[in-house]
Amino acid sequence: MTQSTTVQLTGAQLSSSVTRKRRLSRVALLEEAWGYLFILPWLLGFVILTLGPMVISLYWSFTKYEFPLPAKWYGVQNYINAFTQDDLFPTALWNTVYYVIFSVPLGLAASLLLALLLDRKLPGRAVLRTVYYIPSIVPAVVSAFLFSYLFQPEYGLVNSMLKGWGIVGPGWFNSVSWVKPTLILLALWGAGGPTMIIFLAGLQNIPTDLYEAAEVDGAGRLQQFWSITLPMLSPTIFFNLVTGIIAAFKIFTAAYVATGGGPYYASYFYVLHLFNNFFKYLNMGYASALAWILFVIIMIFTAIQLKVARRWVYYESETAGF
Amino acid sequence: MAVQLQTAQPPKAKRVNFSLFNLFATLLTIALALLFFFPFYWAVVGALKQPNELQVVPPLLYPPVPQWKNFIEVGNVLPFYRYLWNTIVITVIGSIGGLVSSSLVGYGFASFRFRGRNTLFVILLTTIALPGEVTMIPTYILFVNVLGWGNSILPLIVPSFFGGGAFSIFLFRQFFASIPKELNDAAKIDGCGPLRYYLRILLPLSMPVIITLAILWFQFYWNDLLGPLIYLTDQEKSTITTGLLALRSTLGGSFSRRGQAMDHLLMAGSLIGMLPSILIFFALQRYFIKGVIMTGIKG
Repeated sequence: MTQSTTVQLTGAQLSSSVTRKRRLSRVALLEEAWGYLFILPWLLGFVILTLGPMVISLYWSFTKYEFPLPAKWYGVQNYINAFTQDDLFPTALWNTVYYVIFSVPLGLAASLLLALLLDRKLPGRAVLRTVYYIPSIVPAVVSAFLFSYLFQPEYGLVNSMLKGWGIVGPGWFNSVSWVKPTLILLALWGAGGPTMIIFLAGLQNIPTDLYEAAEVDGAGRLQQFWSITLPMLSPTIFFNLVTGIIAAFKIFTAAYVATGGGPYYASYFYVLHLFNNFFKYLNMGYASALAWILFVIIMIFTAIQLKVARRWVYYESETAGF
Repeated sequence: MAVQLQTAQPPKAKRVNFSLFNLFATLLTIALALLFFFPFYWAVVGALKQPNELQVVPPLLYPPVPQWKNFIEVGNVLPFYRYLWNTIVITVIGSIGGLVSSSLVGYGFASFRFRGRNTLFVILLTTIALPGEVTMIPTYILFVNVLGWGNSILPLIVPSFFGGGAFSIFLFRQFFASIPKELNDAAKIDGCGPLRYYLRILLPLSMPVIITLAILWFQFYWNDLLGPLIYLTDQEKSTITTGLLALRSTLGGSFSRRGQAMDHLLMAGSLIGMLPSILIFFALQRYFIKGVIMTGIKG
């Protein structure tokens, strides 16, 4: 590459450049071998534990496969059955959509509120941040236990307190109409976790001079929040929204532990239904179809958000990060 | 994704003016902190009560005589401390597997040129978005019916040795790629091979990333319910999460029934189950926060 084009190459020079090229390529080959060697664990894992299972589960979703009976071709019948035969499918889907619709916006609002509260001069700020954060590191099984204990209808602390004020408390996890709100409350307990920290980082990246300028112009607190904080924070909100919706669609542990899907299927979520078909009824073909339907639903939701995002997410540099 | 690591810094001096609004905000901050903390307090109180103090209405807000023996009692009902040990074994082996393999793979993607590297890396990134539910069923059949690994910890720990999760690989790759190439060149001239370079130079340099990812791996394994639930059928082999469920069914099925005052043991078990998480959080708090900012991962 460094050779000047005007220089005529002699035979000797040519042959030396050829050997150099071969030596180089040997080095390159060696490098290539090392590269493949290092990524080999992932490559194996990808083929055996991701790609293979994906293909197989897609195939099984088109079969009648009631373990341990062999899988039989079933066409799209599993998918048709989900939407026409299986009464629990719409129930599970509706419960999940309900949970997503309420828990995600409420969770974002709560996380943002906590972040705003902490993003001020405040004595003991680090301690408060720690207190807000800790509920999110508690294993979901444990937090479901703590809430079951707190919200026990007859002698639990919450209803006892309500009783003291002359209010008859609801049945919480035991009530058809309250079980989903109670699970949302349980999710809100974790609002001071990672989502809040991401908001806090977003808030601290907003230049202070924007607020100073707004103050000079006589903008009040509320106006500053609407016109500066929210637009500047919109990429962060968007990120938390997308990841929050995906996580909410997959809610499993809290419901499995606190309610088992009850009472009367009022908290029977999509992944619970999938899990039951897979692990309880060993209906592998149908469960595989349910998994793919979930995947498609999540993809559609994410795609819609990416599309709508252009209208409300503000990127300062106009080069969409994320 | 490229968010700056800034939360650890003190807040910018925003307009400091004492006002009714600030007072209200501060009070709200403290009130919410108390509210968030309360379930922990209540769990401790519950764990230290005597059975006959559990269902008193109105509830006793503190244990009259703290019953520390409840923490021993819970181990008599079920081998709960054995479950704790099982969980530690799975968590440690799985996390080490994840860290070792994902750092090796990350090194491969960051420092070597090979055909198909970019394509493979893009494939790796797209697998992050794939919900585990899609691969769960064939993977289960593979582990249990083909390989005969049912009722062992192998299905839980082996996957982490094979690439250790796309996300860890991605983070390691990003970090390794940010290390100046000259360092690698200098090491090569001194006759340092790729493995020694990885062990002696790269790994010591990446301690912050390793600790951050170690926390994420710990949380994944420690909190996991689904994995132990489907693979560890023998109750003896339970982890903390399945062990708590077993404890509850042994003690009568659920909270919430009058007359079965066993909540003190369930609370004691809950505290045992979350104590390691909380200790690790306090020891490595800085890295938790850093990890969240770096990865945007939600617990």
